[in-house]
Amino acid sequence: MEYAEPENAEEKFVQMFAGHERELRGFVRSMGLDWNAVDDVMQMVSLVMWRKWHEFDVGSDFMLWARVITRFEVLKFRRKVARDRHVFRENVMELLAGAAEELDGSGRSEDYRNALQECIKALPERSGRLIQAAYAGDRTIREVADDVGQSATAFYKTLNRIREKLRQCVQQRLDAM
Amino acid sequence: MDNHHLNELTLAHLDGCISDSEFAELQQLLESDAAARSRYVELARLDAELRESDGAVDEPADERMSQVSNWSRMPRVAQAMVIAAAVLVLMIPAWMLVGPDRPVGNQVAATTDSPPSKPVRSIAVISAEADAVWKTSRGKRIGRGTALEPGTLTLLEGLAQVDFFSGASITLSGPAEIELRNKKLAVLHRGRVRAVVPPAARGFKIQTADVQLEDLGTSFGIVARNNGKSSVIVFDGEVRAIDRGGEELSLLEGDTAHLARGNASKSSSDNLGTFPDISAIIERSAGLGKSRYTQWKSAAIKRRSDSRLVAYYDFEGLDDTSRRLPNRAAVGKGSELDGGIVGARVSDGRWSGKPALDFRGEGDRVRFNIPGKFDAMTLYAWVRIDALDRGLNSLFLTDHYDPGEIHWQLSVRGALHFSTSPVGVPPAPAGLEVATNEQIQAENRRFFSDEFWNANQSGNWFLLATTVDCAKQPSVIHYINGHSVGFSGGRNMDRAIPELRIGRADLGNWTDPIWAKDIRSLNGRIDEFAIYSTALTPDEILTIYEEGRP
Repeated sequence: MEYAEPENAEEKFVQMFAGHERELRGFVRSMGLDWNAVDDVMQMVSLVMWRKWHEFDVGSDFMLWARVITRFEVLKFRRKVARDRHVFRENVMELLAGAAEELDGSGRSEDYRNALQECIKALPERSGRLIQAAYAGDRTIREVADDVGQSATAFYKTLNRIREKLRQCVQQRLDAM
Repeated sequence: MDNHHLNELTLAHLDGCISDSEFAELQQLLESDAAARSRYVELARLDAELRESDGAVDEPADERMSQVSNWSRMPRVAQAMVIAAAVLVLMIPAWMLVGPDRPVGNQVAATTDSPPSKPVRSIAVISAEADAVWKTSRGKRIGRGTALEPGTLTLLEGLAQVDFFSGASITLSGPAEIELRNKKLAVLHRGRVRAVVPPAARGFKIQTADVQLEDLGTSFGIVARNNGKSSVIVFDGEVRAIDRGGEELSLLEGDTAHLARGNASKSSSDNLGTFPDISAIIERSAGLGKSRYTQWKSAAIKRRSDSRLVAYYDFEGLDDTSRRLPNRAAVGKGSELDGGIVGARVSDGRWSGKPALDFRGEGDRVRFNIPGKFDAMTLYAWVRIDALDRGLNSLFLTDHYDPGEIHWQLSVRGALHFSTSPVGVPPAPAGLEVATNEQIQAENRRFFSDEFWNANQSGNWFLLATTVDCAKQPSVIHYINGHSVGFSGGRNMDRAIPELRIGRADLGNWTDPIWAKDIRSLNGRIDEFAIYSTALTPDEILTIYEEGRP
């Protein structure tokens, strides 16, 4: 086994964590947590991973290791918020984690990002602007929809249609790779 | 399975606007159908990527860094001053490595293999806290688990443990201000620090205004006072103090030293006070916080049956999906006076686990409709002010400003402000849309309290209270944290107060302002709010403070 050199262990950690943080956030999100919860879980995940960093075998797959820790932290978090509304049951979360691993495991996150960029570029201009309005800043989509006022329902329908279009486009591109 | 319907359920859940029955249906589907799970995960992944990239293409790399840290953006001016001060007094060449010519914060260099996909700057992480109150900018939350980039950390009170990625760990006792330069160097501006440095982190340095301490695998405590003098005590191992003349002084276990005017000199049994052990304090404070919360709860339950209450909001039992702020006053109109939560998010209040509403966006507010006329009134609220962004910042404002309606707010200068007017907004003269300010102010009764708040108090909880009694002189008294305060200004303060009214009103915002585009949204949190139909006595206000202080 090859362990991280103590000299640069922290640099390596920060680098690996930062490089995969986005993917890990997506993984947590896939288990059905809202963004506040994702933030909370990720803070714990970063702490736990840093504490256990000496156990990580440098040559091995970082995401594999990271998902195990993240999954555990999500379920731990779930027990804390078990009484909150609209948090999935533990077994459903486990099933979703499995599905997410299957999805993420099949391709590199770089590929996903590139595919999405291409798909956004291919959107009609108005749709692109709408997606950006919905996702720029820290506001939830519901808040943005609320801002739109009376046409919130219409806004929502359009947004969902664009998101479905993007989903299809990304999956097609990934399948073609 | 109807994919369209599945999409709708999934996106509604991801967006946080799913109904209970839809949620049950979605959960059932996910449990039984692998294809449904794939769909959910694909849409969640898409949602995550869109959010991380702000829904745009070709995001600049700089923007991505904000993911690494919640903390990064501290005042650069303060940082520059510390560096300048250090350069003036430091003569050791090695120290110049972090001099002003280099951009601060690139010490975490990328290693040769597998280059990172984005710049990395974190050098430390907050690993524990006890009653910690941080000074933050731009409403960023700092807390346990926050990754820290190079920059200045200001702990207003409490204790916090910061683990550097070099392996060194420090416990800060507030008030303290420390600049994290890189994973092996920190500059203590003021305050008290206990450092523990394992052998692997040997060479970790703490610098004060005049002297640099290099730890040789040990633990030590250091106090930097406001007058520029500091003292150090070595608990274990060896510390090397290097003064600005380049002189080295070796300190061993049990030694204490004075650091002043660029010199380090040994001193005997200097009384340095204590360097608290964070783990013991965390245990104690968790118990203490819980017991204060419990104490407040039982007081709040008693308060509900006070027959002088018009409405009482204890903010208990709220969760992310709550859209109603229940009126808990046992007498009166009950749930008719419930507030409607718009935008404001549920977050932690005075104690961990105590719900509060966080007002941040321009649209955040709680809507009320409170009928009645009053010749006396008390308003009080527990408020955490994060910043006073507007000329006037809403606490509780009636829509518009009709005769007898009340406006309770905070001025940009940090004063509590109450106003009402027998005429409200007079009719606009011909050719104008709104009455002139002179016209409005002629009859306006305004009462500004002494200025009690400045940015240093950002993040602290205050009990703000105002009593009004039309029959008394002065008719208005402001209270901060249980004690009455004077006035820093006002208008028509000795003239008769009209019968007071509320009607439709906002907590934390202003609907239907007198002047179009006048924004008065609050930047902060509220976790308790009460309206009485009487002016409470000073003793009663003090009791509310004592029973509810954090």
